[in-house]
Amino acid sequence: MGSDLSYLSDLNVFQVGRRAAHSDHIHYRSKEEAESRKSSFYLSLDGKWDLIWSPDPSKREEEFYLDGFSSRRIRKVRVPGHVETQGFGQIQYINTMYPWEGREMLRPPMVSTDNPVSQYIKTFEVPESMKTERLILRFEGVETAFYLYLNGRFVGYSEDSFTPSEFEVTDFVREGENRLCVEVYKRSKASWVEDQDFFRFSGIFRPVYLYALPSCHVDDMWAKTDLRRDEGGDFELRLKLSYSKPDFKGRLAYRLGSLVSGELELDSNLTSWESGTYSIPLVKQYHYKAPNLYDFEISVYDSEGKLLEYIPYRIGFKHIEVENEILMYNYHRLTICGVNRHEWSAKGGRAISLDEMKKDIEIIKGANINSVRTCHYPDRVEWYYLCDEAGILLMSETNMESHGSWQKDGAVEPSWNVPGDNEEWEPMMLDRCISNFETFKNHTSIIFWSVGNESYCGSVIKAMYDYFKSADNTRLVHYEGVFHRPEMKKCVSDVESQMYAPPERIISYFKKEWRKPFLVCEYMHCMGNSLGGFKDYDDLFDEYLGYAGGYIWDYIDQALLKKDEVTGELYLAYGGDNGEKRTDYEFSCNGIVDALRREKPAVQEVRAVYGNRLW
Amino acid sequence: MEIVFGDLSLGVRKGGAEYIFAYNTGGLESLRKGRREFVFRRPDLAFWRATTDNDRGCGFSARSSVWMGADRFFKVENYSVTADGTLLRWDELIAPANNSLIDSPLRKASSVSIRFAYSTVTKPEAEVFVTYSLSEEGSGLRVDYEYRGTEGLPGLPVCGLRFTLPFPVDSFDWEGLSGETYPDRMWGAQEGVFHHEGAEICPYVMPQEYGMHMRTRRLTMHVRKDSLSVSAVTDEGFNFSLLPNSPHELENAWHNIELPAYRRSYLTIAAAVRGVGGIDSWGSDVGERWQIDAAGTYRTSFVIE
Repeated sequence: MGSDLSYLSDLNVFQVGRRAAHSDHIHYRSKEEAESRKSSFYLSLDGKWDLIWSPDPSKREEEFYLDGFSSRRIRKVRVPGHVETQGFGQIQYINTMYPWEGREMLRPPMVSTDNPVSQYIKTFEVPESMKTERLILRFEGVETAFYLYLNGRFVGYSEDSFTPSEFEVTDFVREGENRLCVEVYKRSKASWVEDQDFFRFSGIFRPVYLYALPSCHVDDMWAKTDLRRDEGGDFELRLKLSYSKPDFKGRLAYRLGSLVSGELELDSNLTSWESGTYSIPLVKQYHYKAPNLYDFEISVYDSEGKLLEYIPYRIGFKHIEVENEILMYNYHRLTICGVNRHEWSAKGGRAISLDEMKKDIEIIKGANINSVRTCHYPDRVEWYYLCDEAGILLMSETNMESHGSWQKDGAVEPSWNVPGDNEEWEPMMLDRCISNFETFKNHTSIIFWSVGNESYCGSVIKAMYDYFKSADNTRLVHYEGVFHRPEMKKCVSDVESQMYAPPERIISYFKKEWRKPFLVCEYMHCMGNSLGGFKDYDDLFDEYLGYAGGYIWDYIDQALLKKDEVTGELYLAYGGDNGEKRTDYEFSCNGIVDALRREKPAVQEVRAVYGNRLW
Repeated sequence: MEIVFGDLSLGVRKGGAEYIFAYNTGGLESLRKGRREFVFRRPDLAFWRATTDNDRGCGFSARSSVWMGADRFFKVENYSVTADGTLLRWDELIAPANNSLIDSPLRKASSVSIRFAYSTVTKPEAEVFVTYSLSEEGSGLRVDYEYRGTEGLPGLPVCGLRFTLPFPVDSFDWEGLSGETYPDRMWGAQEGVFHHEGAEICPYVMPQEYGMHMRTRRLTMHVRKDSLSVSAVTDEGFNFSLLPNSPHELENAWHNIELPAYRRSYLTIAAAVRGVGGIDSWGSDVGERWQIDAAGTYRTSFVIE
């Protein structure tokens, strides 16, 4: 009875029954429905859920997922949201140290016994229009591991807090009320590689959907494009399809603006298809100065010509490469004027709203920033769409950071680092790369896949790099941590990436060992009153063609609105203000905007220094 | 002008304004226009700025902590007055020497200045000279500040004079550079005339040094119907911050809500401003060209009216 807790520390079990990662396209029943952006294939399950919170696994209600279970321990909680920001469990900010520092002595993949469990219960009815269709439950972000049950039966298990996890539940649903139960663990083996410098939360913090698949569905698409040197474009479409019944026949039509259109006959044996390359003589290029996107659409029809699903997407043409050790974008040198961005809300923590995302776009564009590194995990899906439209070039980073395993108060000490050269970590880490790539591959704004952050370097990281290289030849792959194992630089990372390199160190690189473009993946640490000397980095663009620019650390302060116990005033609380130990205190606050998105004085310098390069 | 050779102070009345310079406290003790007093206490020698995250990270504040004490305490070494070209040493000014001045024509002098010499409470000591000058033709109170450093002292957090105004300002205007600027972060500033309502609130989540304005031509502070302005004398202008809290109050607070209520205004005029740095917050110091060498000499001049 109950969840098999061995999954939490078993490196071979990072998912059970989860669907393969796939592109983030949304399907609609009609073009009209698509224009309203409300797909009737989707049922949002966001809102108030029941919650039983336990400080550790022994206190949980093992039978909570069974029909008829009731308990006086049930409270209400908002989904999406962390449980800690809603009064359940300790809020803790900590940087490199693992959150159990000083309380437990653990080595990977051991799991902390200080492991709060959130048991969520939500009831729903399947809408009439979705009843005859295949049904998928989609969780866009659950931290750090969860077991899923529906109507008293175990459905599956998943980790990776920051990528969508989906489960087919067609055979689990029933007439009338369905009882969805999710058991979320704050700690798991994943905690060793989710040691990002941030508040440590848990819970279902991104949206949850039930969605339906029509009798034929495009599970995955890759509308792959490339801008050619002659200003033409290459286009290729790759599809993965699935069917409800074995005898399906129908037709699929696709169109990219007025550039490309085509059709194919469908039958249920056809589960993958590639169009081959279309060579288009002239296309508008996609650029951060002019984010030209073409409307792409797929329509799937049954044998009687009835539209089953309609998929819109916006696709552009760009080209990124390294040529003569210089970073080139659309055949011109690229000067990255970037910022690292954590997802943050002073009220919701990493559960952020669409309005907050839109505000970020406005501030980032207003500061003449042309690129964002999604530090250090994939962001909410909506963010990639917003960046496509706004012309913000993305470094899409995989959810990995393990600096507590090898960086001890700044000193490099990798005696037990993970994932390192530990083969048993490789499937789990590769899965994170696959999720990152497969989910976001259609977003024209992405120029880099990033393997992750500050995780030293070893064979597993090389395998992650190799995966991205083999999966996508239209983008570059970034990893900084190889800096600490220079002998691996030849086989990991397409750019020389360093963090917080002073200008002199960059100059020395160009004088002594220039073999790749130089990128400062984090620089100008904007903690408190900072960002002095920024112009010195800008001058490097003029001196060194191989200097590709960098990403300011970082966009937004991580602080939470809190009521002062003495005066009742609201204030922005940072590490230590919730009584947590250990913590790194105000080190959570390094943004060019504060936690309420008010621009700090340094923004005028960012605007001017970056504005100098946006030609 | 009307000069008062008091027992412990030099008083000057000019137009509608009254000035008192105190020999025993070592500086401008009163500046009154009509019913408005503009001085809460005589100006401090400004040597401390509330530790920034970067200052802490690179150990600067620990290395330079002697300046925190120097900001709170100083020694008045001597003072002298020059009236219409006649020099009066400190022992010619205090009682009973001032008895002889009761009928002196210098009491109607058309120009007068008082020069204070200070030493810092550091080892070794540095010298500071502040001269306040008034004249019939001048428009206000001219202040000349000079720091003369010495070898063997750690880098300066800031170097200047800090006036404590006895009221919160309603608003202020300045002609100079936009936004908050420091020597290593002024490249993006625009020149112009700027207005700020109320006090500048610390924009950083943990209180620290903030609000510096480099290369200013003119600053005007408004309180009710009164105003006080500071004007540049040289082409470089002057550097100022006008804050609702002292650097020591900022230093002690973990959050803005812990700062004392805005009762007084702290106007710092800095002869030298240390940069803020930015390479990282755990070791890299401010760029060398933006540090303040304590062995240097730093001057600033401005006119208060």
